[in-house]
Amino acid sequence: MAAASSSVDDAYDYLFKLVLIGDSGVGKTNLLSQFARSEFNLASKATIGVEFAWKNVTIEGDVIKAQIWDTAGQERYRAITNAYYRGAVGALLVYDIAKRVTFDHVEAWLKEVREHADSKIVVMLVGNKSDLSQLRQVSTDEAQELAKREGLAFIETSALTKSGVDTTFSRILEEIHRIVKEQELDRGDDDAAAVVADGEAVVVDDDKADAKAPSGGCCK
Amino acid sequence: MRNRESAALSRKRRRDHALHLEERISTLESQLADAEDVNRRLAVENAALRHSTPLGCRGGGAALLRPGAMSGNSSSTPSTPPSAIRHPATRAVAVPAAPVASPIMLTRAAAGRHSASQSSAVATHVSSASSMGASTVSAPSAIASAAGVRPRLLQECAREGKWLDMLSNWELWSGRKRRHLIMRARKGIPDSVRAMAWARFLRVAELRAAKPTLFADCLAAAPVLKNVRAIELDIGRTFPREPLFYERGGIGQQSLLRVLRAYAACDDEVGYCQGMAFLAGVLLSFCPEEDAFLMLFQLMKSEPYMLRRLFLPGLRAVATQCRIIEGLLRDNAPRFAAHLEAQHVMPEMWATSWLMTAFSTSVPFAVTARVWDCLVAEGYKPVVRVAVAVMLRASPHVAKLELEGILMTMRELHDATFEPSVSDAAHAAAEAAALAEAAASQGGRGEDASGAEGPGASTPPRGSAAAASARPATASVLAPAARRADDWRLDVWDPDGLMRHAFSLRISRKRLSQLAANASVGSAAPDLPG
Repeated sequence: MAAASSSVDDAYDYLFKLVLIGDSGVGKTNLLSQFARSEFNLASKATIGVEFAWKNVTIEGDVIKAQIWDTAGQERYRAITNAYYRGAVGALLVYDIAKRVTFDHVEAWLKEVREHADSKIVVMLVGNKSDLSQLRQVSTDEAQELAKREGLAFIETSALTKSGVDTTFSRILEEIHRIVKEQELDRGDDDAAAVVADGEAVVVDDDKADAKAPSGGCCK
Repeated sequence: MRNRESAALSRKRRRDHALHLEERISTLESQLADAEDVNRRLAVENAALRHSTPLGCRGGGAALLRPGAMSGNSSSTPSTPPSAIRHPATRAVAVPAAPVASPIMLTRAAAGRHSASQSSAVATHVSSASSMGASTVSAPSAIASAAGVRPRLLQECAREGKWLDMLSNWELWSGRKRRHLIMRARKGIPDSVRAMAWARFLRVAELRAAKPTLFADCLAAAPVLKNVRAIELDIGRTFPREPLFYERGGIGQQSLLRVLRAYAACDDEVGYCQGMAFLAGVLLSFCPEEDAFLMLFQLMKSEPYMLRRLFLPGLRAVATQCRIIEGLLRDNAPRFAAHLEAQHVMPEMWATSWLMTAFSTSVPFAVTARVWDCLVAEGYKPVVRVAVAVMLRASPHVAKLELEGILMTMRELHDATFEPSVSDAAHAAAEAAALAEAAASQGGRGEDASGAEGPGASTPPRGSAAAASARPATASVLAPAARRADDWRLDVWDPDGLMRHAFSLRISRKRLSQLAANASVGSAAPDLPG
């Protein structure tokens, strides 16, 4: 509400932009609403285009503004959602543990990320709907293996029960934070932080994006 | 006007219509009690639904499936009173005298929008509307005058008469008098004739005559598995709070599935794209299955609509529309547009769902219906206009915010206003109770003349002291003071104000094509007829 909007101006040390990707219907929107507002909506609508939420979290004394873009999963929407990879420092690649096909598409999504996002983007594989254990079609081991092979972090969550949701976001944000801190140390200055903060420039129009893309630092 | 014969005819029709009004109004009144019952139960159920644990909160479908419980709706009437503005999503569809009346439509008509206080609002609204109607004949009431509904009901009835007249003279109106017809569509098509009017605009009869077996053929065609999967996935996520669609495998979901499957079968290139389900859902709210399919077919594939372009792979038409919106914002509010640009807020982020569903999602249904009236009458341009108008109406607040705040505001604008909280439900219940009380206190004085004018009209001498004393009681419930501090959001969605605003924007055809051309994908854009 109004309170949330007015606190937008609050000071923050870092701005991390995350994207939520994965097949249609795996629960991206509810994952986000659980994290940002502790809400689960059983009667949720299909996401058309892109939705957005943000939340401030504190990691090691630094205030992090997590800006999260929740994208429509249907393949056709990638034309629109691609643009949101730009400047993103983290991606949550979500599949549904009770729907094999959504896991089978993980590789395709990874390709998508690697094509459009920064090479250093932190990707986390998220097996959602862990509450549906009796309907499970993707074993934890198998997913773990894939994550290892592809160099991803991995977690299982239930947006319904909120199990694992906060951990998911805090783990990816901590990881990004760690990387940024390392970069800062390497460079011995604050430029890296500035670069990440620049990431907020979300440019949807591809032509303009080339001109505006932040140069150096964490971006290609 | 110029056609004397038709003018005389239309006068006669209106006179006949007025005679029927009396009859209808008494029916309305007898339905009122039922409607209130249903809606009170709904309010309770919905409050439970929204606040119980996510699982096992279903049920109550039976109460929702009471056909014909009410009629009369705020969606196409002006000067909405505060109570109605507060809950603008009154989704009561009048039971039409139309041949297209379907059980589905009745279902939704009875149910209203499936969320707590709205249902109460529906009850409130209908109660005012029907007592209001009664006052036109014999018994004016305090509710009526307090809510100011009477002029609106009368207007709705007058419009109904005009539309029935136009529908029976369609060639004249869609030809020589087309501009006048469009102006009337912009004011809102009365609920009772909406399905008929849409069918006329969309040339459903012509399509049916040309291809009598179109729907059956498309249904029989072997569907592409990928499309079917995508459709099935979305069926439960299309208007999931609507009584018509929330039951898994229920009549609404089945119809939705069939309509979308049939469409996917007759348009290989588009197949199914998310967003289309909402279009079909709106049509199914008003029409039976086959009509809804034919209307969807026309909206997607015929000029001046060609909505299919929005859904073609690449979604380039959506991007084009977003550039157009940007340009129009710049034309109308350059400083505000500059602020949005500085914050990297692009129309893709807040308008995509409106553009791809023609305002079927995330807005009060009253607004959806009004936008669609214009959509079917004029083509796609009104959708863009309304998107711009919404942003401009929100601009005093949005202009102070940064990206996060702006997008959250737009999000709340989508949701908060018509997904009311418990306190809203309580408020609405209190309103309804106060109104009922006032009605009871007014029960005895049927001949009081004071209610004959709306609250806006200062002329009438108050007939009795009791009536005068009853008025403040109800008025205070409905007074603007009772509204929340952030009610500007509700004002944004006031259908009449919004539509007026949208159509007051000066958008020349030339400017539109210019903007589309600048988007450099002009050829992919849907046509935007003037």
